[in-house]
Amino acid sequence: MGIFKALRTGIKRVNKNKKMWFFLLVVNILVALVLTFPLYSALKTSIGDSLMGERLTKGFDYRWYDEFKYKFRDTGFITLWSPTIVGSGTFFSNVESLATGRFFQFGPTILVLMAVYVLLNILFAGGILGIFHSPEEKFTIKGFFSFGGTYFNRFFRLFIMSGILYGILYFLAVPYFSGLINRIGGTAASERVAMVLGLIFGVVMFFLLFLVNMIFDYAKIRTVVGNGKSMLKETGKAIGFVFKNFGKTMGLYYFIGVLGIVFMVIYGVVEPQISQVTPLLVLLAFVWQQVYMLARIWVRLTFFSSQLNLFMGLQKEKKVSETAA
Amino acid sequence: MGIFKALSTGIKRVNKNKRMWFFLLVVNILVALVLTFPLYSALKTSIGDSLMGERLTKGLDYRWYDEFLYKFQDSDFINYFRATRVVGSGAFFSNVDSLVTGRFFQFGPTILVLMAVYVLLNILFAGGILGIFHSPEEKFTIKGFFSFGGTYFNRFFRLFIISGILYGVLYFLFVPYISGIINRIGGTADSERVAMVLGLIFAVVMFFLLFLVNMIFDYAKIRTVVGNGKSMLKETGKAIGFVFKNFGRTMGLYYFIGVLGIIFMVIYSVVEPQISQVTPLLVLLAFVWQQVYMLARIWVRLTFFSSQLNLFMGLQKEKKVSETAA
Amino acid sequence: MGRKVIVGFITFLLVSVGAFSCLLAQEPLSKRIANYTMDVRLDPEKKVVSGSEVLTWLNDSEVELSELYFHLYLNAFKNNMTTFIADARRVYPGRIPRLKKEELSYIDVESIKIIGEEGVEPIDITPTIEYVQPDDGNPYDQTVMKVTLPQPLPPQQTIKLDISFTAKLPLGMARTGFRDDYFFVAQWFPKIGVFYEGAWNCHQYHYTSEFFADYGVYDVNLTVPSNFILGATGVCRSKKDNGDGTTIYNHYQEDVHDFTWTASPHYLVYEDTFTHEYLPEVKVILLLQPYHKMFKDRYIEATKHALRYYGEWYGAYPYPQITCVDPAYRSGSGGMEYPTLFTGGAYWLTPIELRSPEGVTIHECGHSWWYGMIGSNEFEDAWMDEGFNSYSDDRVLEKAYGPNYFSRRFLQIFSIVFKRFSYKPTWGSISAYRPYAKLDDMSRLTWEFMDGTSYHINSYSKGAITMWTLENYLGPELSAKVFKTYFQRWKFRHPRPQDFIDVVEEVTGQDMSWFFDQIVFGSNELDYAIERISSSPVAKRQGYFDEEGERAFITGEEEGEKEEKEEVIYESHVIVRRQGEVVFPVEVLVTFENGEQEKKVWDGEYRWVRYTFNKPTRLQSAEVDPDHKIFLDINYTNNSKTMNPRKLPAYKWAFRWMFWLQHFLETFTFFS
Repeated sequence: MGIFKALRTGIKRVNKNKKMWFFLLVVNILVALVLTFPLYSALKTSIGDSLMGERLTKGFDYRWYDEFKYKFRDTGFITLWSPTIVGSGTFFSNVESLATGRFFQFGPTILVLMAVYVLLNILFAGGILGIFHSPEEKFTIKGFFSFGGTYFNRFFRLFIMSGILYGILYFLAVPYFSGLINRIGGTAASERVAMVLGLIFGVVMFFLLFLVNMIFDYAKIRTVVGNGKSMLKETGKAIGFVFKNFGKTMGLYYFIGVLGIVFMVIYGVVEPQISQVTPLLVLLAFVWQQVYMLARIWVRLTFFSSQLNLFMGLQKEKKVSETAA
Repeated sequence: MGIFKALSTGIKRVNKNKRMWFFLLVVNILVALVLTFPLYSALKTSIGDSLMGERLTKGLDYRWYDEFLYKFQDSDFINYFRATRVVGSGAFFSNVDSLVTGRFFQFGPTILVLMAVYVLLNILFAGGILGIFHSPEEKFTIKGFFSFGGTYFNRFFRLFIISGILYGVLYFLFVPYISGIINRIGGTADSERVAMVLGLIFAVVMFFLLFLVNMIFDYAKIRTVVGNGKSMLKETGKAIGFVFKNFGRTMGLYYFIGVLGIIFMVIYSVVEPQISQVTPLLVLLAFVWQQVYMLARIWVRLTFFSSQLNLFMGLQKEKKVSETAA
Repeated sequence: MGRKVIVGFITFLLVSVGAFSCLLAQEPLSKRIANYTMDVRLDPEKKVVSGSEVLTWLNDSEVELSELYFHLYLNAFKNNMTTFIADARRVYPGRIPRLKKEELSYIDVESIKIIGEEGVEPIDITPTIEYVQPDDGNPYDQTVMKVTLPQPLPPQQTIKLDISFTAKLPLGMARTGFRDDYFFVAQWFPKIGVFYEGAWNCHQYHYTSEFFADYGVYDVNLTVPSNFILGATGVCRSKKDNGDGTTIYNHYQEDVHDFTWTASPHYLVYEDTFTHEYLPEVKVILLLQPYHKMFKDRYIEATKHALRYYGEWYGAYPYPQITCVDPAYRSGSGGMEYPTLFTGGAYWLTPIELRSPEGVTIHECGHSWWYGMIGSNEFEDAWMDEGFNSYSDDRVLEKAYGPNYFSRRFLQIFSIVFKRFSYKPTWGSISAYRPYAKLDDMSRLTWEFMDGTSYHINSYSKGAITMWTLENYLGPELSAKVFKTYFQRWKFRHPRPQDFIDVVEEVTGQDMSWFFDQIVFGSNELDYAIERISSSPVAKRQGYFDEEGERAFITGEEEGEKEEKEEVIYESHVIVRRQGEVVFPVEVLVTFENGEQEKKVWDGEYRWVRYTFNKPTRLQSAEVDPDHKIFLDINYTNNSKTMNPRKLPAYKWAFRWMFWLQHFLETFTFFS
């Protein structure tokens, strides 16, 4: 099976399950609202009935921002609101957090929310893959939770195992490389050396993170397809599978990744065009954000769906070739 | 079927499913942690490295408490840290008060969103709980739990909407109407006692009505699971019929379990002040005791479902037998 | 003979001293400037009090006076344009009084005549009546009346006026009025203003103030329906049934500056006596609503506590009787002070831990001192009676009842007392004061505060915590002397803030202007904090050092060996910071790990001060104002820092809150 076939069929399956997109979006919104409300309330308190409201309708006001930050300096997550997360800053800040593990330094509130969301999505991953692998390939709440429940324990174990690998990356590789970069940078003739080293480190880190991520995607897929019980075994086999089909697995993964980047760019280009000076325009921007979030969810589902196809296709080919042999 | 048989079998089934208790407790803790962490961080910021920490280890210090609330007066939910909620049994009183008067609608949006998320989760879980209790194995598995949860989610959500309308009528029409009457009568009365007694009567009536609606929808859920009903309006109607036809037993069972819940509260409240919470170990002990109570609270909720399921099935069976006999 | 002469002489001496003492005893307590003899009748149907008063008034000034000013308070509730209602709109937008026809009030002065010598025809000066508005020029306000005398009244001369008036009472408003057949009649008669400091001081009736009058003798005949029970200022001297369904009561009181009464057929009457080792006996009368019977002992006990402690601390209650009134429900007359009579306020099912009605009873009874006997100008210096009195009642509450407890009314019915959360009564005042610390000066005219809350906080809360801070600054003994001296010197007179300051300075022998200038006449925040603490071993020497003419390079290792033998010296720093604008001398307590403590006194002037210690022990903690003497400090938590902060309390209280949240979430699964 080629990656484009896997992708095409994968996308078709994802597109058949629009209810699933919206379900995942609603959960995402609900969880985000938990902290959006206190943030909203902080903003409201800070702006109050000041004329600053007028200025903030038009755009960003540094003085207000500075005062806002000062006022809420003691309230953990409120201060995570900063202009760097506005517009396409959202992408950069989150991608940076992911690559450097900086999110570990976030306030406990965000981390707990993240943990809750991750747990929910461990449950949902079972639902998604279960449905994609089922004969009907059709989203129902019943089927979704049923599959979710079926695979929750196993996927949770996979989560723990992947967590160990991610942990090694974040807590051993990152400090080690940072130390190395600092040492070399500290004796280098210009700052460029350290920066280039940093870039190389960034690329390597991304590669490793994505690799681990892909391996555990296939571990999940294997579990669902073969109803595997031992997660260690499934992980081992997933590693084998990925490396045996390195070109295809990587190709598919990065291709979908690029799709994701394309969506980001489209969002990033359109978003500044919405001036957000009237309620309708603010609403429009909000809708555009949610459209992007749907696209983001679509990408996640496409990863699962296409990789499932690739895995099954390659397994089939393997069996056929084994039979032929 | 008598209520005690329904109850004893119900309790047995609940006790067979201890993993379910813990699963529900873990979810409860996780959701609560979402706001507990920012609160903890606010407390930490406020106490800092002040000697106030020493005093606060011993007990709540009014001066600090006052300064803390002032400092976080603009936050949306940190100022829900109130002595009347965190000291002694305040948690019970404030929550019951909120439930009866509908005052929780005035809470900050953060708390309300969290509540909404939790309620949604528990709509899912209600299907899981009842599905498992009604299944032949009666045994909790994550798979079965979510499978049943998913099976009934849509229907239970519709029931939630229907019950929401009734609760809405109670909170937004009944409460203001009765409050208006109390104020009117109280406003012409000779002493404050009149308004207070009327308020008490109102609270009792409100409790009764809230519990009645709650019970009706418990049976509507049970009917749905037992009979795999599809029309939630029909199930609600039939549940109303069932409750009123067997008024003594349904009410008896409901209030009996309710009393069990109150007993747990009392036990908690009697023990809690004995834990002085001045050392980390004692604070941990108090925390564990809180969680033990939460488990008991979850147990009560499960017992409601389990026992009412028994009662319903028992009475249905008796009805069928008597119909066949006739 | 000689012996007889001596015995006779001694007898004469004793008799003389006795007679002189009697004479002394009869010396009026006050300079009786405004004396009223009244004869009035209550018409309970029409809600009208009508009759006449004879005012005998002494021109105690140095100047001739050709105008007299009177308060006509009941005109404050005449229409929606009066200054009182306008104030209400401005300072308490949520509390605009009702304006129904039958609920409004007014007072009409039908005639005012000067009574001359016997046989001389009284001079009618009614046509000279003019309404004036000295405070705001509001033409709709008729709460101050001016009359012009045909001839100026010379200094130290007395004038006698016969005034006929009709007062229509409002539906219970600002303590005055009726509710069904309950009547509370305050600020109801034409009351002459005070001429002092060279001018008439007769302010209009404002939403936030009403008291300032001269002392005198009140002799009042009150005619009320016979089935009514009457309570009034002073002592009832006679009671006569008129045979027409009405009874006439005579109440008499010397050396008071107002007269208030109440009548209702429903009162339960209880009498008790306050006795004390050295204070005079006082008859305590309680007029109680029948549905508050359970509060009887609590009202009486609280009244006696006030009589005792205020008496011991400041001076004896000089009147033979005090009347405590439990106001009728919805009468709007609760919690107010009048001479020898005050109103409390009780609410069914209130446990004693809530200090109600105890708190209000002690406060209002306490006003007998700060308002009753110390006749400060409430219009202009409200903090001098409300602040002093809040401070004093806090002290009584603490002495008599111990700490306050947190509480909550469950379902607005049952009170739950959180006995594990107690606090000093005064701390509530600090809480109220904090957000308003910088809004207004305490010394503003009462109606010129930004809003009602600011008035209240500056007069009551800040007043109280200012007095507490003063007491703590001076120490208990000196402070007791200050307050006693002030009371004894100024009782039955009209002191101004400077008079109090003078007493403080005289008793303490200190210039205290810095205190009063900043606190009373200023509105800055007071906040001292420990900014930073640190403690580390004294740095070893490293680098080039010129010693004994030679340059040596020291690596620091050389001293290592020495150190092993010697103890480690720690250099510890404590930085104390003044975060507020108020400068106040503070104590700083520094504690070291070996238990050693050092107390520093900082004048608090510059923005910060650094203390450095070199000791063979590490610093443990530092605390500014360790005894929490300065109640005006708006942030107490930042007063200290420790090198070993406790992590436990944040967990502890977060867990407690989490339990509430967990239970909250679980409670609302009710809907799922």
